[in-house]
Amino acid sequence: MSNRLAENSGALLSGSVIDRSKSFTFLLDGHEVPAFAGDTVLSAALAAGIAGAGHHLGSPLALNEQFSPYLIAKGPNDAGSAALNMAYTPVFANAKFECIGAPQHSKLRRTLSTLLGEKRTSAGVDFATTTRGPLHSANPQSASKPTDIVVIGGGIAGMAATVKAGRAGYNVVLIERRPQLGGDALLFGDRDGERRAQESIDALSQELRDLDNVHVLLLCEAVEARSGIILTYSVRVEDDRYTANTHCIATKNTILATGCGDRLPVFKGNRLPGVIGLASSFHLAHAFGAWPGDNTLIAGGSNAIYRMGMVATDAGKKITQIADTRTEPHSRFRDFAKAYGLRISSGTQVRSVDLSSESASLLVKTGLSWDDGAHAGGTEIACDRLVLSEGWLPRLRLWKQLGGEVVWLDERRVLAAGRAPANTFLIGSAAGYAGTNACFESGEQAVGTISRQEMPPVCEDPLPEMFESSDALPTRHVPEGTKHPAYLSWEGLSVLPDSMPDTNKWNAYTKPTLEIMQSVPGDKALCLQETEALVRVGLLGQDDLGNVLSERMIPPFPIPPATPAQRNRLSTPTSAQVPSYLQDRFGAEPKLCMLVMSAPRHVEAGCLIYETSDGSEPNSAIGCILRSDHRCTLALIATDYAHEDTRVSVAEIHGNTAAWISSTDAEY
Amino acid sequence: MPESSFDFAIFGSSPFAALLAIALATVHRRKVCLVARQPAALQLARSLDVSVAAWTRPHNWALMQRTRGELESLLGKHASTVLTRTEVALIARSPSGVDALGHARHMAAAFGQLTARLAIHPEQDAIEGFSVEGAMRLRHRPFYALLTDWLEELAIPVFSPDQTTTSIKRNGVVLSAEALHVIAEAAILTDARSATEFLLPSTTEKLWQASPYTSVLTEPGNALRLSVAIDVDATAQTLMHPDGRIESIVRGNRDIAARYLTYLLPAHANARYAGIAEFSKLESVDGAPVIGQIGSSRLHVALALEPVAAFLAPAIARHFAGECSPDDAAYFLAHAPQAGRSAVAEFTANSFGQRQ
Repeated sequence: MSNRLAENSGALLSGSVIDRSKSFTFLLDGHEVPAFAGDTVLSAALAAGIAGAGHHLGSPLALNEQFSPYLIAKGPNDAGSAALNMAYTPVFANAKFECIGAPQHSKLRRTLSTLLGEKRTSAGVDFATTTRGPLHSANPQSASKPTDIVVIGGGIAGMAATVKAGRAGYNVVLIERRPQLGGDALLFGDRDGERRAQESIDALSQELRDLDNVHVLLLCEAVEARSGIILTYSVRVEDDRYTANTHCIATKNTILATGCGDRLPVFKGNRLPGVIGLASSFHLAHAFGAWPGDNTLIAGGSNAIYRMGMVATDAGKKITQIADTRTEPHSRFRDFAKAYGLRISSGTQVRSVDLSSESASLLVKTGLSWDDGAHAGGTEIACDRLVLSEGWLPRLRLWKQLGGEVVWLDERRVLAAGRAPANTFLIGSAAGYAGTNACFESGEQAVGTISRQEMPPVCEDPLPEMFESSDALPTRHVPEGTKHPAYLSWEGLSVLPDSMPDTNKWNAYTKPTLEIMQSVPGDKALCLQETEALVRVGLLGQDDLGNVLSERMIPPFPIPPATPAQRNRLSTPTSAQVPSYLQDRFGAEPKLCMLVMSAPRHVEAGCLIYETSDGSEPNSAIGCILRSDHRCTLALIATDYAHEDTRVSVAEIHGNTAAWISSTDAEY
Repeated sequence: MPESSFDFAIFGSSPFAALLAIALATVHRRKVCLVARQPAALQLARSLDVSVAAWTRPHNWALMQRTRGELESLLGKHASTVLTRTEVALIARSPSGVDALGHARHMAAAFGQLTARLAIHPEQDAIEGFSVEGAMRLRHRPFYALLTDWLEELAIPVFSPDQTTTSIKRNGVVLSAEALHVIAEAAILTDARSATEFLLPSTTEKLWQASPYTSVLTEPGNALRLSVAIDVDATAQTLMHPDGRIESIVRGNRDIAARYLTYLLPAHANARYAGIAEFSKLESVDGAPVIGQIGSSRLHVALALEPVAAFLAPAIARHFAGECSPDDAAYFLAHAPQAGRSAVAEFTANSFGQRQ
């Protein structure tokens, strides 16, 4: 397991949820993958060197916690359930899985591949033909009795809110998508004068264990939120059988501690296998001790890149370079990184990434950066892994689904939460707090508001710029580079068009609409990251943001096929009156007449009736057929022509047919 | 006339409003301005423009027959880009709706249209109707893409309704904003927003009503083998793209739209939602267009024209320019807001109490 960090290689990245004393293998598409107890399919695959999810638009696509193929369990592990998400599926010895959309090779081919020493590096899914929608249903089952509070996100803010609510006697459900609590607090390190993140996590975890009225769900994703309803997705394993479990939790109050995710810088090759976000790479190493590749380039515009460099070095990994887009950044972690002897460059931005034919996996082209991505010069760096930090994007998907406002802050080029919906509270870093104390307090304050308790406002002073520089503004995009696509998000499949429209030419009406619809994600639902990226790169105007968030940021649910009953003809009663569209068509008081056709048969409603067989001008029609069966035909005929035994001509599509009026006092 | 004066200020952001402005400016040499909001990027369609509808009355088919080819002439060099030939399916699944379509089909045939009966999901005999061959459709995206330059070329200014204050005064319709003060002899209201803003409910409630609508876009999938479907029961317009994307504009909220797509699409459609938008539209109470002057005011309306609005724009421009033929004049007299209107009513789902 060469991609695992050593167990004693620094406390932070030692793999806190795996049990290294219990190693085994499982089968993924027929290939043996080594794992430890506590691994998920995703973490084991990444640790085994499977860095690719498959291919899309002719390029390999990275496997990561935001984007992975869906699985089905095979053989005795198959409980016949829906697709399993790799990141939420724990593994055990001898389990068998297949990736949906991956080519299934024969046993002979797999044996030959093993004998030839071929290394599996990708799940091999063709994302051009494999649909990847939400795992849960659009029509969840009804919820049980509502709980008092659902807290979504188990970072420090979510834990603090849960503990305070639990202590106050509320029934609380805490939902955390990862296998452990604590969030990303440990990545950022401690601030002077604040409570230490690790101590806070340990203390809060202990309290949570002691509270009987708190239910903690780990490896559980809150996939959708509606007013008073939270839908969760998790993978249940019972008697070695896997079941995808969509659960519906009713709640009186929702506290969103959903945190922030890695923002993806938009350049070509930004999701090639080996490219990973900073928080994702930290989580993979911290929880599972996994760090694929030997040489790592860390690039971005936040102070966390230096801390990441330090802890990775502590864990024995080689950091090729730390490239900061800022020209004169200040951070204590930068000073520490220098002391570690790490190679640091400032004012440097990644322009593109290509696959390398040499021993290293990636060829990263960097250049000088200033302002928004104008560049001069450039160098190429070969590495196995590129860890990117383009700053943080608050996770506001559930917030928006619950009716919360999302706004664009142009001065910081970020999306942020606006007005809150009823009974919904946004806390922690998703609400804009950075330090442990503020996150802690924001969690407690939300519960205080629910319990109508007077709470002091959460105050957080930004760190002085001369000691800790702010994160760089997100770059717009880098248009040049390799043949590989420039994706707009870590989780979606929308890409930047090869030739960006000239935004200076956009004016009234919708040239940008046309450009976007033809080249970017016109036919897909968008995730929040993609929407944010569209604004950031200038393809979407701020004025249009609200509309796109409202219309296009939806779960891409499948439209279920209709049941036979749904397809049945509507059984609405026929009106007892002549329809309004026939009023005044044939005079003020036309008569309902029975016709006798010269050859008895069904005549279509709507056939026009003429006085003679050569009539064809619709304005000269004297009536029309209302309904008919094989025995009788009902017609509406102008009074002047409605006489018994009068001969008329009925114009059918393929010719006229003779008929005569048998009665003039019929009923509709 | 001062430079800031116009004959008409046309309110509305639809292709119809723009085409009406263009027809008045070019064919009838009127000075017009447009009060319109540019569609937001990635915005879902609010309407569909085709050259046929489920008309049961001869005067509608006759008007379209007289107007045939006029939109193409108006579009000129742009016609090949924005107009496309299509087959339109007119469908229903209620007995009343199917009956109405029978009348519409025979009227279409009487006016020389090639029609064919069709059944969707015939195994359940659930949806019936007929198709009209050789109809035309206005493609909205390419139309909007060329509109900016075209309006500039014709010196038709576009004012944003969000940044313009409009007041109806004795001497005209006054549009004012920062560094802007223009006056128009008359206003033509073509959308729900302006009609609601400028007209009293007591004037309009017997003529039209605002109804909720939902627009749905799906990802590419296995769609129906139809290009355009107009459902008279659901009051829905559906456009199927060659790649399987579906745009559907359905009367009702999103739940109703979802149910509609569920029964419209075949079991193997494998469609997924790519976008949903809810909005409101004005519908005439009797299902017929409302075109003309409101009393003796400076306000005119051209409402409830879907799905043929764009194709009627040249004829309606003639009407507002006062250059109609006698046949056209009779049509517009019957469809005026103050007309009796019993002789123009068309099939409406709500007149039979039908709801999906």
